[in-house]
Amino acid sequence: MLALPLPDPGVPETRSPGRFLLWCARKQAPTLLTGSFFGILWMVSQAAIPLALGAALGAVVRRSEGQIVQWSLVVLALGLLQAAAGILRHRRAVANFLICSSRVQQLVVRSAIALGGDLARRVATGEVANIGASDIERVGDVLDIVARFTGGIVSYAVVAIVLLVVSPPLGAIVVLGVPVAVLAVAPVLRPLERRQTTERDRRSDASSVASDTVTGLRVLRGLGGEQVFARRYGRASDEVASAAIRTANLQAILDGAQVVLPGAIVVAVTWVGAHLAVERSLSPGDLVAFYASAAFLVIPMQTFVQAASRWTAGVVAARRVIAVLTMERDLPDGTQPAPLETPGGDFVDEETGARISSGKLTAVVPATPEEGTELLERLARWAAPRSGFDVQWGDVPVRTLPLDWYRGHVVMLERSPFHLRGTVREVLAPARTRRAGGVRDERADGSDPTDGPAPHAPRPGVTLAGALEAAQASDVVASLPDALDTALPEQWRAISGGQRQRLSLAQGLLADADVLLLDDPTSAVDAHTEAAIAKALADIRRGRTTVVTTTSPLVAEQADEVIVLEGTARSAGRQGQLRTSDATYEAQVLRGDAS
Amino acid sequence: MSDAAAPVVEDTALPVAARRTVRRYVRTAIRREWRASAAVVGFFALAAVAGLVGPQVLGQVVADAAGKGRALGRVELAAAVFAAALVAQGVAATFASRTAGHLTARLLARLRGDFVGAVLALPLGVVERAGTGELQTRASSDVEQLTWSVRQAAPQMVVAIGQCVAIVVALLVTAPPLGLVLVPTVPFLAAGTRWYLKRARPGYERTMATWDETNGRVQETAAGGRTIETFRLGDLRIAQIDEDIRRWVAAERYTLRLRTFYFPMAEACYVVPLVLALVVGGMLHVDGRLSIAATTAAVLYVQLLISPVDTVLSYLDEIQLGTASLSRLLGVREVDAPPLATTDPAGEDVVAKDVRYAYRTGHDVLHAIDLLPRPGSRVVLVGPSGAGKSTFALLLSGVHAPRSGYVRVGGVDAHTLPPERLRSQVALVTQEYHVFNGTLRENLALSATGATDEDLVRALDVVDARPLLERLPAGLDTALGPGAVQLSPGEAQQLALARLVLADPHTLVLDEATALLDPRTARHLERSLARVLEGRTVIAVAHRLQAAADADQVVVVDGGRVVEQGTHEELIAAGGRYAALWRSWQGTVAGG
Repeated sequence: MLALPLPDPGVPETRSPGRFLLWCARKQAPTLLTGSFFGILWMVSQAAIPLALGAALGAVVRRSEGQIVQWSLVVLALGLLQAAAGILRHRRAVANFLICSSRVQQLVVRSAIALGGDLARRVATGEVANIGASDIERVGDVLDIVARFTGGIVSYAVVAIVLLVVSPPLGAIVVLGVPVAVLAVAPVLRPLERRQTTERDRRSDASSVASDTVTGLRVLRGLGGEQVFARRYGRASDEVASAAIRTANLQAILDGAQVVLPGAIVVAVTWVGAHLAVERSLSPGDLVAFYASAAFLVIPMQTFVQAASRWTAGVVAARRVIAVLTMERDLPDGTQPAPLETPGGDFVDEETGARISSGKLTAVVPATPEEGTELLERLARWAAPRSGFDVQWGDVPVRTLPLDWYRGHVVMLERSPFHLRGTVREVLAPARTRRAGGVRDERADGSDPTDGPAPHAPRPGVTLAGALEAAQASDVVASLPDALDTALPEQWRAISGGQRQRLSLAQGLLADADVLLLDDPTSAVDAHTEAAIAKALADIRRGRTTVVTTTSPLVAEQADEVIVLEGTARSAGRQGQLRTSDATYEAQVLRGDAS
Repeated sequence: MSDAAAPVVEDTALPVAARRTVRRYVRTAIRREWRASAAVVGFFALAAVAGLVGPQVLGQVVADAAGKGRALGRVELAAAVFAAALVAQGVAATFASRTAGHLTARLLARLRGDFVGAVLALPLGVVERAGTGELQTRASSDVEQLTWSVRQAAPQMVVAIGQCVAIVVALLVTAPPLGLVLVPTVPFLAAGTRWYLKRARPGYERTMATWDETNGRVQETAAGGRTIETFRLGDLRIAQIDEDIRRWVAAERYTLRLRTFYFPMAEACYVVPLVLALVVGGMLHVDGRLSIAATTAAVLYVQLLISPVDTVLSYLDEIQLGTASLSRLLGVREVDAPPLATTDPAGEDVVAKDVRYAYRTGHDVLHAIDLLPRPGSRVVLVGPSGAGKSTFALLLSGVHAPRSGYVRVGGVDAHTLPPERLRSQVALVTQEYHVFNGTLRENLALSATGATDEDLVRALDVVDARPLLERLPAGLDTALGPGAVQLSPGEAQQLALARLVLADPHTLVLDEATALLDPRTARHLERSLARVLEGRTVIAVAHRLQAAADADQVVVVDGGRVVEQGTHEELIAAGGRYAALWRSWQGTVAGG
């Protein structure tokens, strides 16, 4: 019935939420139209049941056995028809929901990927709201109700026309009564929606208190504070309860109104109809038909109310979706074409004067961790240098190179990166699980031109086993229940800090970049392991440019060159002849008086 | 470290409450609120009964209209009764909805409180083993599911069941023989519903799980954008999310297929009694055995029954899901607590004797470890990753019970001490930190509720966190956590140590507690901490060897065994493994 995910989610219309929703609708017009067709068939056959019922009861009044059976069979046929049309309508409605939700998911993901590192930062600062599952559902809900809504409109029209033809006064009651009844509840809807939103917010507040408590449970049970947190949750939970009570108060009024308002139409129809019937200007059968028709109209009325609130919620959700879809990157892209070869030559960070020799392993000993991170971020183009300064690669300012190309050649492993979930194999060697061979080659021969930037293709030189070995992470993998096929949760929470750091380093090594920047990659491992990592790192990266910030003598010892960074960079010598007299080097690496 | 020994990603299976326990809980909860519960049922019943008037009135009017005489007076009366019944129904429905809303709000609040209370009382070992994932799911998804079931499904269910009963009774009173028209469809409806429900619950659970999975991946893509960009995983992410969507759609399709069979079947079951009522009622009227008023009313009752029956059937699966969530929430209360010690520890000595431990049966990670730190001394554990140091730290701090041998605090087995008592004796700080969403003050004064501002500031001073305090805009009252001030990992570790200073136990177990700080800060912190901890026993797992040089006793652990033990000088003199490592360290230093 449907091919999902969509091969291509399309280019959305983002000028306004309404246009966006209409664009979504246009993209799935066929299912919307067939859905509406079945929706109409479904509702009209339901609307016809009261009329047939009236005719049947009319036959009962006239004691006409043949007609009783005949009209009863019509009721049966209509009942079965509405059941069939109902399920077909339902299937199309679900399809409409699925297509639209899938499309929005796909659009949001593509946009998020294009924004790269920017999105998380802007979500964290509240600049854009995070797109939640509920936003996507609400956009889908709008398209879901279309079939039911059209069915409701048409059936309302049919009932109104039939009633107007048979009895103008009764018809008038229905034609005018229904809109009045629908509009009469409108004033309650908006405040109710607001209170529901408040209640949802309070619930999510309480949920985050619970989540905070659970995450910090080791601390609470180890050091105390359970009572404080029980009370804190109690307060949040009370807020939920009082918000729920405020919602319930308004909901109760709506519930009552939804009994009384449609009921009033039924009573009015019955009353006027009874007069007409007693005066013999309306047959008893028609009276029953009108009564049942008026009662039936409750269904389309509820659909109208629901459609209105879904549209309102859908517009709000669509606005949030559009905010992400239209976001632009902060980091400027380079204007030069992608070079055929890497520029070669040393890196120079003009801001600090740090010079990184090409093809060497450089250890940077920063006065503060932040200084080291900032240097690497400038080199990796995660941060721009202060104005007036540049980072040069050979004689090329790196900012002029295309960012996408640059990311393929210069990789920075963060101090505490965001760890994606997946099996160890997926996480470490994504290129292998997806495609064999080099991605860049694939693009070069034009075999796969539609693909965007692809994962790094490890060279034959760096194997999964080799990277794990170098990062001293083989035993980490061995200790996992399913070794390489163990699924790691988000942020790799299931393993310790030290294990995480080593796996992360293996991931960085496997990227096998021309330039690899490692921000204090051994801070959480013990001295034995650190020494082994430092040696293996020098080996596996031999001949390629590697920068590592560190404060460990075991790491600095393995470097070809050591740079001390304190505002400006200065050389602390080369391997085997470190100038330990450097005060900062001494303080940072040797911890003052340790020797 | 905690490394090789850690119980990775294991399914920890917190208990799930039995059906009987759930029933008992619900019964008790309702009994406690019997007044409100009775009011809810009363109002709903009133509304249901008032809703029965319409068909009666109509039957009467039809009879009058079909009759010979003109009965306008009776028609007016009937219409007035109908209108009055409608008003009564509306008022009753309003109050029913209101009281039900208030009642469910209170019931849910109590349940949430019970759940979090139970979570906060979990034994340390269970918390450590279970990790937080499973509890997290229960605290969020299960609470949310239950809220939905109780707020939406339960009241609808009560109303609908009430209406069904009222309508069937009214039908039987109005036209007893027509009650039979309901009978033929019952077996079909029952069998179909059973067929559907059996498959629906796993089906909907899979739908929800795959939808959550898809959204989780989308969220992760947003949050992990930098990692994705660094490793150029964009295409792979798109492929993965496409796969997630495929799975979600497949799950949706499965439940849709179930509904494709079930819904039309159910609706056919609704229309058949209506047709039977028309035919049978009509024939009975033709034969003169049933009045026109009764026939009309009965037929309308049968039609009126459709909607509540449909409601009951369509909310059954919600009730099922809600019950499952409730079982999981109540299950947390059933965690087996280890038998607790009744005696108080005598003295401040911590002794580990012949300690063995295994995360998985048959795989000991600690082999007969002994440790007798002199009270007030400083012991440093060193050794390669996976040696079992962190596991040993967990045992020393009473989180886990040794498989054999013992860890005793003042003569009492550490793991049998209730956490409230244990923490005044021994406390553990690891490199896994947590900053609570709250002010700095709240984050510090966890147990030390009586601590003054001076106490808190002094504790921050001890861990060299004065600069942090000065950086914060509102001092101790600055809100920390997501959406507020975010601490760096190093600062969070300082915070953890400040909590420890405030808790002031006689023995501190520090597992890489300064690993996330830069070395200069770490070293300074360790020194100022040492001054404050004068007289306290400190057992520290460390990877920076300088820490070992200052210790009273160095313990080298490898492969779950103590391989060397002594003072720094003794070990150097012994020329063993420690000496070798120290030399390589020294060599570097001397290399300049």
